[in-house]
Amino acid sequence: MTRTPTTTGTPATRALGLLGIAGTALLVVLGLFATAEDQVQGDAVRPIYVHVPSAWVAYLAFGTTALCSALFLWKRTRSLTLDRFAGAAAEVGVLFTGLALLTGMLWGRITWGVFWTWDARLTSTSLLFVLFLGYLALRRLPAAPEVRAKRAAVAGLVAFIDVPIVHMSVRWWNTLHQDPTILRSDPEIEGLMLFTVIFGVAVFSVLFAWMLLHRQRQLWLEDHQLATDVDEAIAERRAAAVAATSGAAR
Amino acid sequence: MKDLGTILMAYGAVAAAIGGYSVALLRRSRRLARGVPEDDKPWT
Repeated sequence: MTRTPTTTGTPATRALGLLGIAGTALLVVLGLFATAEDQVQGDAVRPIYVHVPSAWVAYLAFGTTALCSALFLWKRTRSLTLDRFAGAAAEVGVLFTGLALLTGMLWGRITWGVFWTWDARLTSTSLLFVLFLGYLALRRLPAAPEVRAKRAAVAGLVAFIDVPIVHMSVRWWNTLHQDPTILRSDPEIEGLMLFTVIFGVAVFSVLFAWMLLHRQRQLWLEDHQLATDVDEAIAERRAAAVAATSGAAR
Repeated sequence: MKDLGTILMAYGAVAAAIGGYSVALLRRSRRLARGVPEDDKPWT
């Protein structure tokens, strides 16, 4: 008897999943208990250990969408697998952009006294969130897989233009949001605090890889199911047509 | 710890969103993969 696995898991994704769970548990311990208070922000710094990794994964995910979209549009590398990776990455990116916005709002409530302000970083990030929600909505419009993939690839590349704008917004405009803390020649944090931020980025990247692989395989299953349904519908219509023709001949 | 409620809300929201999405992914995968032969799946 052939064993039929009922999930999209493989030994590699199981290893990634376990690594992600263990890493997240350790990140919570580091972020909430092991790290010291910030000299300026006090305990308000603690949401940063999940905020920065969330924002990083949003960039990583939308970068993956843009790269896969560009490769799909290039005829020599065109493949529906790339389209599925682009769609899966965008969905995970929207999740982490939402988390970056939410954790940022909670940090803002403690630090600035308000959940939201129409600051350049916050506004461009919320625009990024809406752009990729639109991208996901576009993917759900009924169309042949090739057509869907082509228009999604163009939309993904257009939406990605906002990523460098989000990143540079704190340099290009006067904003409430702080300047880069880590990605500079003289990082403003050090020791266990710096380690915790980098560790969080690594753990969330592992979670992203796990989600991306599962979601991409799920999209393959959805396409497979759609193709099977279409084949069955065509066979039914042919059988009905044959029955009608033979009935008329009699 | 100052602002403990807000800090815990940030961590709780992240855990709930990541955990919820992951569980939903696995449940949907299980439903979709049922009945598809192993040899047809490119990842097996």
